[in-house]
Amino acid sequence: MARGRVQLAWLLGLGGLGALFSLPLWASTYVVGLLQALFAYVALASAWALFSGLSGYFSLGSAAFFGVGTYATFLLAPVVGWIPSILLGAGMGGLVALGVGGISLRLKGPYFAILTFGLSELVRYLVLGYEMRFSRTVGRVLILPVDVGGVYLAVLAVAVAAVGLSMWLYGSRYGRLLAAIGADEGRLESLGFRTTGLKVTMFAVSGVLSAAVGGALAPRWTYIDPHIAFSPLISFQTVLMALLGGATRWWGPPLGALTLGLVSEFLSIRFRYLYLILLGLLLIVLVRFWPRGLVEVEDRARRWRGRRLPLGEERRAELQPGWSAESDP
Amino acid sequence: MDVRLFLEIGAGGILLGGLYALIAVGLNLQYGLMRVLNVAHGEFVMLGAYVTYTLYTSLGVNPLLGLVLQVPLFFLLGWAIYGVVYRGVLEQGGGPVQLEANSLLLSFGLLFILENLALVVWGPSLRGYQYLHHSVSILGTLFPTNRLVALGVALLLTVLLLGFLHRTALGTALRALMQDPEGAEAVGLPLVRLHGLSFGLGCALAGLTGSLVSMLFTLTPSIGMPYTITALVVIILGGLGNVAGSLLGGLLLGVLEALGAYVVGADMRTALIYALLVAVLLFRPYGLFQTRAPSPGQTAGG
Repeated sequence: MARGRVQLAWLLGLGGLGALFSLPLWASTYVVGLLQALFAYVALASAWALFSGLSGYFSLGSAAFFGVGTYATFLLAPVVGWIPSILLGAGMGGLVALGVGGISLRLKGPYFAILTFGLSELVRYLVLGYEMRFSRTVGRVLILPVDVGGVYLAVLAVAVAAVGLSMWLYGSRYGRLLAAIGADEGRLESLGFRTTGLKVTMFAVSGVLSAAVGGALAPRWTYIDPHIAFSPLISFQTVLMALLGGATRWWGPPLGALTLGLVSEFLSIRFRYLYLILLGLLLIVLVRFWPRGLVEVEDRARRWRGRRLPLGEERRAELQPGWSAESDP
Repeated sequence: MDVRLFLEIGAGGILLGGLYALIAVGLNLQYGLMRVLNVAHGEFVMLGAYVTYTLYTSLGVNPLLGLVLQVPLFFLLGWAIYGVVYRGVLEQGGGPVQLEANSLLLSFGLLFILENLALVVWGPSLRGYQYLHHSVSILGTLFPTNRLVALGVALLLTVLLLGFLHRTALGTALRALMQDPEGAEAVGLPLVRLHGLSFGLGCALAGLTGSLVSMLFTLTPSIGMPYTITALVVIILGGLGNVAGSLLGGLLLGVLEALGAYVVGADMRTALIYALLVAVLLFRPYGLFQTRAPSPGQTAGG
């Protein structure tokens, strides 16, 4: 890319960020509320993709981290304040991820997915059991003096961190290592690479960010119980959004989150059942014709213009007969 | 523990377990070809339950006859879904990560479609009917007749299924496919036809289990997901790709669940199931009845 275009991209990016962070000053409460929900999806999807997107270890445990963050804020915010409680919750999310990652990352493929799901459901029922037996209540109430704009800014900050980290990761040596883990971990290990450290680290980073989303959104709830904070729908939705966008690019998961979030915002209230039927059909058609998600927009454009595939795609091209003919002259 | 309590818990557990086993075998058959969690599997149970319900309440078709009628219907449905939805995607290639991602997305798509179609057709309210509702006394304990009939049907089906999978050439081919897809292809098994067959068979099993479910419990369009999750737990207990393991695992889980509800209380029963799932995955990841991976293809990156 020419230097001028790089500078332009930076300027546009900074301008966009400025506009987003100043949004509560000039946009309506409705818009701020809508974007707050959308950016929470973006943050969760990007955080998920930081570990699972490239490595192929599909985690179904986002809800566990999200719930830990939510509960941390509900319990700690009255003592230490809201922002510190988000940070503490994020730290706890990271610790949980280190623990879970340490025991679960030796399992691969569907075993890992099912284990993360099982652990996150186990956490939900253990918290529920604890609350019923020792707290003598199921739910908790929290009222914080934070308005929609404040929650929006916190969510946006987490989303920017998650997307920014993804941008860096996908272009870095670590991103390529994670992609290599996804392609053939055994071969990578036999070449002398150590994969465990990287996997656990990225899983922990993903846990920190997902928990931070929970803490940032917490003031919006005012009431929570384990079924809300640890709802398995959070995990499913996150994976769905990230994969819909396509996890082979850093901008795939955010794109998927924005698309699905917007579509559901406008269609789900008026045509609830019909919307979900259409969504199902859309998913099936999309997977059939755009197997790599919405990010295929770029690949199609690139192919159409006759460019070479970006680095790291050769391996996939090798696996797809239809591609190799075009990418290898 | 006195005899009556023991009988009650035991019979309840085996009944639940029989249902779980049938659903789980269906999921395991499909897992064998797709290598991924088919999260829509329980929706076929839900659909089967509603079809039986509708046949009985509006046309007066006996639920047990409805169950028999449903088998070819659900087989064709599953076979068609495989041909239209899955086949093209599985043949796209693109490596294990993409395949896993895409079949997960596909099954989510199916889940949304089926559950919401049911909501459109039958509405969100609870449905149910009474069939064989009187009780019979066995050894001084009262058992509802429909439970005993469902138990009998589930056990009969289990035996038939085991016979089919272990005593016929087709069944042996299906087991080979589940245990080692690459090897099965290498010895010349017709992969595409077997895939369609096992998907259809999985759906048929889910559908007819749904018929039994409709005889026992009330229905809502959202009952599918819990069955999917239970079936996942069962196939992990029994080992992915291991049919006999799924049957045993299902019975075991049913009995444990009934016992657990009695010992730790109904509210902690679900926690118990998940604790079991996690423990098995951590200590015996290839199932309770196997100590090593059935084939290299199932674990390496798969």
